[in-house]
Amino acid sequence: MINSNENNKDEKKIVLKIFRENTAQKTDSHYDTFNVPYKKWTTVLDALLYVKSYMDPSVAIRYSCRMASCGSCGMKINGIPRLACYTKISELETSTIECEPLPNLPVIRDLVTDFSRFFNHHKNIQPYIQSKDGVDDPDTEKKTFSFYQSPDEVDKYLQFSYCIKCGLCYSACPTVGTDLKFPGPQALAQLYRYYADTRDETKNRLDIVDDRHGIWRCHFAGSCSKVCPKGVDPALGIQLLRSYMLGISKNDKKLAEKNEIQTDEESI
Amino acid sequence: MMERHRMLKESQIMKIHYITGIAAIFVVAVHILMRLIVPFGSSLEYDYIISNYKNIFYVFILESILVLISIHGFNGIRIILLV
Repeated sequence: MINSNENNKDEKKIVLKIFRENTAQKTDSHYDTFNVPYKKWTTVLDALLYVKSYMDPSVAIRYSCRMASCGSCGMKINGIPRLACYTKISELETSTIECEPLPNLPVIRDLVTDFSRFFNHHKNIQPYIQSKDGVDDPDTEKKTFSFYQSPDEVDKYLQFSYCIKCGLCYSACPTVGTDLKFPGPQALAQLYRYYADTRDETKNRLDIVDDRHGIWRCHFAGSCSKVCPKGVDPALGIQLLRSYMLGISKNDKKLAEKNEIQTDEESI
Repeated sequence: MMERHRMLKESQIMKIHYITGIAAIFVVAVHILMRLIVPFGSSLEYDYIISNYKNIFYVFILESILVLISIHGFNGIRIILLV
């Protein structure tokens, strides 16, 4: 963390332009500018927290883990959606850094956006493994299963399971910008993640996004894949889903073999 | 999210959209090539034009262009107007 009293020769200053808006109080949006000291390892989140601690405590930001795991601190930094905790000031190579809220999401205050719509799209694709036993058998809650998957089967969906739901891909998507009913790259990539998983037995999972505002509205701009901080390629997931829906690829998924595990409760 | 009671699924419509688009490129290319192999002056002669319209293959190509581009184009407009 930066110490305001620290007198270090390596310390430089950066101009931080922060978008300000309070929708509750209906204030006009504007930018506030701050001169913030930084070192070569200082992240944009560190700089924002410095502003909050020493210059203007009213700046609203959302953050948690500071290590690109929680996906809370997504914002538009110098015009590109990024995680503030994962973006070093020195790597931006500019004298001014402009921080704005994520596009395609309603602003709550300053850099904090409302993720309700984003999470609703995520929820709509049923982002969980569904087993026949889970639906039909009333005693399923008492049963625990282990599944056998080969490394190749895991490889098919593994990269998509790294998604941290930070919303950067959603905010970078030009289709979401024009059609709010479009599920967005995150939800579609997650749909592929569960569709490709051999543990999932859901039938007609693809039908969820096979509507007029669904997967077919993707223009394949590829900006979702460019901004993902976890190296997920949602555009690839979308194209793979489309190839299944067009019948170019056949889903020859063989369901994972499962064995019931005796829980401690049952063994007693 | 999921729409029911529709005649065609969106994936079926898009399959038709892609097929008509690719087929339209093919038939338009054939049509242009057929125009190019005949000198412009003789292509406008009365007998030549009548013989063209009596050629079932040529008529089929022309009608195909009309049908394919209509389907592809109107669906394209539908997609643009969806938003």
